[in-house]
Amino acid sequence: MTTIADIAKNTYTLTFNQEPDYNWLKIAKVFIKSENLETDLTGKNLINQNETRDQIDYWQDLFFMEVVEYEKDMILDASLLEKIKANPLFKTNKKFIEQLPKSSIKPGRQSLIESLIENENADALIPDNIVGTALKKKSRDDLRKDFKDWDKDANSKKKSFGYIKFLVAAILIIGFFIWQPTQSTDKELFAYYKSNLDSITLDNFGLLETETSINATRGDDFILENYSKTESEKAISGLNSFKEGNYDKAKRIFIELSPKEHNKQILFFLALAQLNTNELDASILNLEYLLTQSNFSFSDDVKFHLAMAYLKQGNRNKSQHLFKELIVSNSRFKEEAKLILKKMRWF
Amino acid sequence: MKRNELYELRHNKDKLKAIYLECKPKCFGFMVKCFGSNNLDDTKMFTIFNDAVIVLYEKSKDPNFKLTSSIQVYLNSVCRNIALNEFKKEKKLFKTTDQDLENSDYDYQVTDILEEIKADTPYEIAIQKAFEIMKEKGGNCAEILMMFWYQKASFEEIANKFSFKDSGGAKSGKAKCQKRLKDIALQLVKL
Repeated sequence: MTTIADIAKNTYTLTFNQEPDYNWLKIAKVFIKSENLETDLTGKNLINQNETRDQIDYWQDLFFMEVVEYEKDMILDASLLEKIKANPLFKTNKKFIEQLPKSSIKPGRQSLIESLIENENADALIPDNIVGTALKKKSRDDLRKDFKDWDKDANSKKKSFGYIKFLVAAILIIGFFIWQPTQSTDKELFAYYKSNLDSITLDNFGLLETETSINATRGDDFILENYSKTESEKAISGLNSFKEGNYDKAKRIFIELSPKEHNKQILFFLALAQLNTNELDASILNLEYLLTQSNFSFSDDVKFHLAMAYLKQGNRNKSQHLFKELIVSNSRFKEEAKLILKKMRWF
Repeated sequence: MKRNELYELRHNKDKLKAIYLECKPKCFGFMVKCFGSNNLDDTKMFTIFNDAVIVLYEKSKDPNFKLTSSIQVYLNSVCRNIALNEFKKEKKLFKTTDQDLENSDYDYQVTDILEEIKADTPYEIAIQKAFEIMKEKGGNCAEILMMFWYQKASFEEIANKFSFKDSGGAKSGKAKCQKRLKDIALQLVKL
């Protein structure tokens, strides 16, 4: 049978890692009745080990959490029980304990399945036609480390733009999408998305195709395909805004440039900006359009981002279909697609 | 299945794993036979099978649960129910080829599916997220709490798994972890 004195003593030990010879029953009653805890405990000389205010608060909260959990095992006199139940800390802990079982089901189920499929013969558990022969489990921490290394590498290199920089950015974006489970809210998803877009610098627009005829680069000028010099400058400004995380501004600029009629790469960035600002339908429409364009240099990127957009939309069938295409076609998103397919919502 | 076998299923992860590995290929085969591979791809079957195992696991906690068929047949039946439910949600009309199935493949009296548990209140959502945060940060707290609250493990089992000195140590560990979870959840609710 647990008493409130036992709980006071045990929770003190948990908090302070020591077990002085206190009057635990009196302390427990002070916890329950006091409106000025620290004063009452020290004033009545019930504690004398220089316990700080924060520690005492922690201890008291832990005390009431335990009281809630072991309420049914305790025999208390009616007046004390009434005071316990009226205590605000008791009430908040009761609410917490009541909601804990239901809240633990989803993570519990997930953990259960992860432990079942965690196996040295993991490949045998997952059919080959899902993950291919190349799927080995790359842990989240390994990938995170790789992303950090890639990011560091991208930032320290000269800003002459190549496709690789965009790949780093894309991978960071991909990395973000991998590490945010589909259960994440939009807010969390895009807050993290924003913090990973630093690699898209102004120089990155070098990946954009330039016309080789009359609009060849002149000095430091970059003329984008099907755009005039002025329009190209606008597009660059839009890309800068995109890089700064100002997606609304980037979107406005890109829209003014009518990218669907002129430049598919800018349309791609517009679609990503729309994705970042929760214009899911518009983003999907643009990405779907880009998917129909043959010889588009970012077709795999389009596929991947479209798959993620479908996932966010809740259209898991379409999402899965695209991920599988990325795997079957041996694209550079193959491993990420496999991971995401594997981690897609089970519940 | 006898009561002690159910108990073992509930408390012995190795036993559950053995069942998982053994039953999986046959469940997949059953679903293909039932629905055809065009209507259910491997990813979906994988998800459905995992859900079915969770159903079995959670049912094993219920003292009133009685398994009237083999585990394989039970899992086949639950897979079938879950798949039909999915088709219904997707408004996909589908008729199973029941006449092709052998009577021993599934038990039509089994109607169990995975109960969807949705966190409704902001606090519940915050607690779920707090679990994720704790898990990501590492350490054993998330698992200790899941063992206690989801798996209904005893302090002895927790002590054995995490090398606590004794069940008292496990109880203390669990209390500390729980306080930490609550503090994280409260921060998230305030956000």
